[in-house]
Amino acid sequence: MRLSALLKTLLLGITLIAAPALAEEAVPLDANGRVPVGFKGDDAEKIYDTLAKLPELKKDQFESQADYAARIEKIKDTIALPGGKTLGSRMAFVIAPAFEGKRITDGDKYDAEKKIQPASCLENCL
Amino acid sequence: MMPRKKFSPRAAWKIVSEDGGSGQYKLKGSVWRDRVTDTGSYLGANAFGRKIKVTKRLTQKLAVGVIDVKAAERWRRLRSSIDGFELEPALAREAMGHSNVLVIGKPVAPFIDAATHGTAPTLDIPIDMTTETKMLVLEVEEMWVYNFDTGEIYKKADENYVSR
Repeated sequence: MRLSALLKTLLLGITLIAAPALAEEAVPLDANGRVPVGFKGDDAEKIYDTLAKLPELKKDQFESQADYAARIEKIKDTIALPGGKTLGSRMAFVIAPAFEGKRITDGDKYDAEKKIQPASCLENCL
Repeated sequence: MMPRKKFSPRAAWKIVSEDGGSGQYKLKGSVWRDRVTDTGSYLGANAFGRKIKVTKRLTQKLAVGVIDVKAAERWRRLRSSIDGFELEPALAREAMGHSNVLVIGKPVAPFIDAATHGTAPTLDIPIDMTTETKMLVLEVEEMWVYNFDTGEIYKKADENYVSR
């Protein structure tokens, strides 16, 4: 019995290690672990427009917060969204942040001694 | 009337709504895209009868929102952890002008929010401005900085990041 429990634990551990990171559900990394070139991510505007047309997502005035959460939890994986996603899916949005005309990392001087790339524009634009 | 322009990724992200001190936390978000369209003009006059041509301008924003203080703090930690990161010189050279951020997360209730506000024209700024904001409410889990030409991921934001 003890050996079987140990094996089960080991198998669970291996499964957890082998499972892809959660974010990889949303970003289909290539064989080298890179973001595919040309990856556009999910279309936030289309997703917004689809969600805006779904009356079932509105909380009824007679529904408690807990009841609402439970109802949404039941239906979230059945609500189809653009890009083959559902309301329960993890999504990835490509953002091109920039501040005062400079894109991320462009406005900062690289520290070649510490090998640090500052990206201070994120403080203002993300 | 001018045709509508498509959303395009653009520079300024900013907080569009914050806690107004009312004790109730309002949706807080970062604008990631907006489009500005001049929709027409009219002849306006002030109380002294001075007339001026006023442009009607519509700004449509698309934003990501977080729902409460905890989520806002998580957002801040994720962002702070990528505002400076270790990178080999050769990669830093490649990154210049070729980096984007991926924001990864799941929609959470209330899922969407919208707001409209207007700014009245003045003699100095004769623009009758209406701003419409669409907000997608997310539980943001990760932020990655990556090179959109090579796909190389430079940094994955760490939610356990403690500000320096």
